[in-house]
Amino acid sequence: MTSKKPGKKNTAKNSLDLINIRWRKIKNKFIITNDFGYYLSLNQKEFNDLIYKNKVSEKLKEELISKGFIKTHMDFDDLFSRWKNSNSYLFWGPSLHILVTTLRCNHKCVYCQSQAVGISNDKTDMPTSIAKKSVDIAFYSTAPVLTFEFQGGEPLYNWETVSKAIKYIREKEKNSDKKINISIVSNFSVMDEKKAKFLMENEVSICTSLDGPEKLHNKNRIYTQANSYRETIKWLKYFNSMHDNQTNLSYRIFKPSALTTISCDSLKYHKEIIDEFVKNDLNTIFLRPLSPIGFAKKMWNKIGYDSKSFLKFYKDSLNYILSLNKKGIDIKEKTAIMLLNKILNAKDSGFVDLRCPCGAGIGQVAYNHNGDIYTCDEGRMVGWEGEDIFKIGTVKDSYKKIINSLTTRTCAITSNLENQFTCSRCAYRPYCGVCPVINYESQNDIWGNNLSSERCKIFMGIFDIIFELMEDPKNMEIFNSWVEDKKEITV
Amino acid sequence: MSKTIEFIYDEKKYPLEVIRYVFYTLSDRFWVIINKTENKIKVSLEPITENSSDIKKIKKEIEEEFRHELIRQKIWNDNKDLREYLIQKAITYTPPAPKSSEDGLTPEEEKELEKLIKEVEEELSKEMNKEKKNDIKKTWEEKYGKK
Amino acid sequence: MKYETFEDLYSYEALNIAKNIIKDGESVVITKLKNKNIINIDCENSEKIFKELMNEALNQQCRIDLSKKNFKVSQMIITKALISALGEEPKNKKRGRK
Repeated sequence: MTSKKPGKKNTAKNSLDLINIRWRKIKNKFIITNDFGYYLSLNQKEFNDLIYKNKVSEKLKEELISKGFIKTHMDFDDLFSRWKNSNSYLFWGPSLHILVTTLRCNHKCVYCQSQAVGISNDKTDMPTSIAKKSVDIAFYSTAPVLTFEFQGGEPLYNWETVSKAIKYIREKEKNSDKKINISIVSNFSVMDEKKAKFLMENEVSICTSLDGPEKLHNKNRIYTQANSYRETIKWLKYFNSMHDNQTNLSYRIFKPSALTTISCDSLKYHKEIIDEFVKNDLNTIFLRPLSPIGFAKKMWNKIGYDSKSFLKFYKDSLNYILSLNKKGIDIKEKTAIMLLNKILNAKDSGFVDLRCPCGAGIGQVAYNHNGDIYTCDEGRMVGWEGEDIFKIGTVKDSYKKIINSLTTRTCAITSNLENQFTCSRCAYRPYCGVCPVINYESQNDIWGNNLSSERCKIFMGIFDIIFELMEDPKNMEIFNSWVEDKKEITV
Repeated sequence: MSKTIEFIYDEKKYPLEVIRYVFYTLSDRFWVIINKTENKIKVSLEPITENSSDIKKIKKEIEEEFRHELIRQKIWNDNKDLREYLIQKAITYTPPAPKSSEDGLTPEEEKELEKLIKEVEEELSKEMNKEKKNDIKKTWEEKYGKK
Repeated sequence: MKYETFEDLYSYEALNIAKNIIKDGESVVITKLKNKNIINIDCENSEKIFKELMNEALNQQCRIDLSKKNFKVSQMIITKALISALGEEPKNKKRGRK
């Protein structure tokens, strides 16, 4: 890249002609970013010279030019395609469709956000007709790839609807040019070989919850009829074995995955939790903070924690994962993968919470057991508490009516980072997003106030941790391998 | 000690918007009240809790935030139109078709490419003429030369 | 207790939104005059409620300021997102399974 000056004389006072630059100080470094998602790490002197004196070394100037920070030298093809890639979700409709097929569950997880009810309460089972109508609506989406996620409660309690809906989706797929993914999130307590076989034959990705070693898992996930941890491990081994030994099949068996929910009890056990995943041949762990929504909100003083506590846990965990990678052990952290894909590859990770605007109604849709449709699963949980503020329609409505609802548009406007004054200045603006549902639940304001938002503090902290770790070339090598990895990462 | 600190600013030097944002950044630790006095802006800060009243530290923080915010405002004002243009172009951008580089270009393909380059250059120069302030044109040679 | 604020410092819109967000906001009554807003707080803790109201109004006012400045870019992004999601209802295409 040359640093040739353009033909026309530059008369602006700002001799470097910087274009929208955002910055953040992390310890003794400054991260600068721009609208196209490019970043640079500067030391204090470089930053002061750039911002206050407009004079930098030739080497830094060339870097600034090559990454679109200087408006008099811009490679439009590169910048526009980068912007478009990282904002690719703007070009199609909802790709994630969550079907809550029942609220029945036999677990009483301490952090449950899904308002699970007892197993005899079949009034919360989604009828097959509603499931099919939900699928019909989903197929109207303009997204080229659709993911159907079956959730609950425990979705296997409504096996009739789940199995018929899966068959219906695969039938519709034959007459569609969309790529279809199906997944199910189950605690495995009512899994059997017949169901397992059906799911595998229909190429359904299997996801479960694994909160850590047996004692911690069972403490978080209370299952009075048996040992939740042992049921989970048993079926994880089963599906892993089926995946590893598949040969000459007309269908693909996906590697199972597990989600871990971090409660306040989990915060002391980062090594043990990660070791549990490695031990059970799960090579991706998703360290998600608990959100104060639904039942979790009511129990927050018992199970919740602040952003500082979570960030310490996350930093320790990520450092431990990196140390394992350096020993040749294959384990990755999913939040880091999603953010690194955005930072390093300008690629949308598919995580609907970290978008501008967020995916509420336009990136994901949640279909409740009774046919009510919500902006997202979190919005559905708010609805269960009696406030239908995030409801966007029912299965009797047309797709267009649902997408065009006032609620969908409101969520899009309030989660647009161009309208959020702290986000619009933040260095992490190209990679981040806000959640109107969490804003509403935690701050009584759909716009939110980032200064006091625990969610904002958590994500800022995670970005700080990742950018700090990226300073080390060995970590960068590992991070690059995570985002270049072509292997499927389910759920 | 719970003590109210007051700051007075000349709006000609510090735009109201900048004052608002700078003091917003303290509103998790201080009660902030903005008022007017003798054609100037007066800001009162009262600590929310006892811990948040190290006056020297706060003044330093405010000064630095003002410096940063004034620069942000300047860069934003200088680039408002250009940024709108770039985002609009990015939204409607269509990447060029990939070259089949293995076999090289035939003479006809080369002619076609030169014609395309010329058309785009003409279009770009038309669009650049519409831009009042900003000169962001790069020649094709500069663009391809640096890769 | 009665307080006065200038419209150009805290707009009526910002104050009104803030009133609906803060705790005890129902005891706040805001009256719009020409260049000022009169805030009446009929409550024991009126001083504390006023301070909370002003902090929240500052938050809302900063947002309103930005929305005006970033209107065009904001509209472009929202419009694109919503129009892309709306699309056209596809006709049934019969093709073989891939």
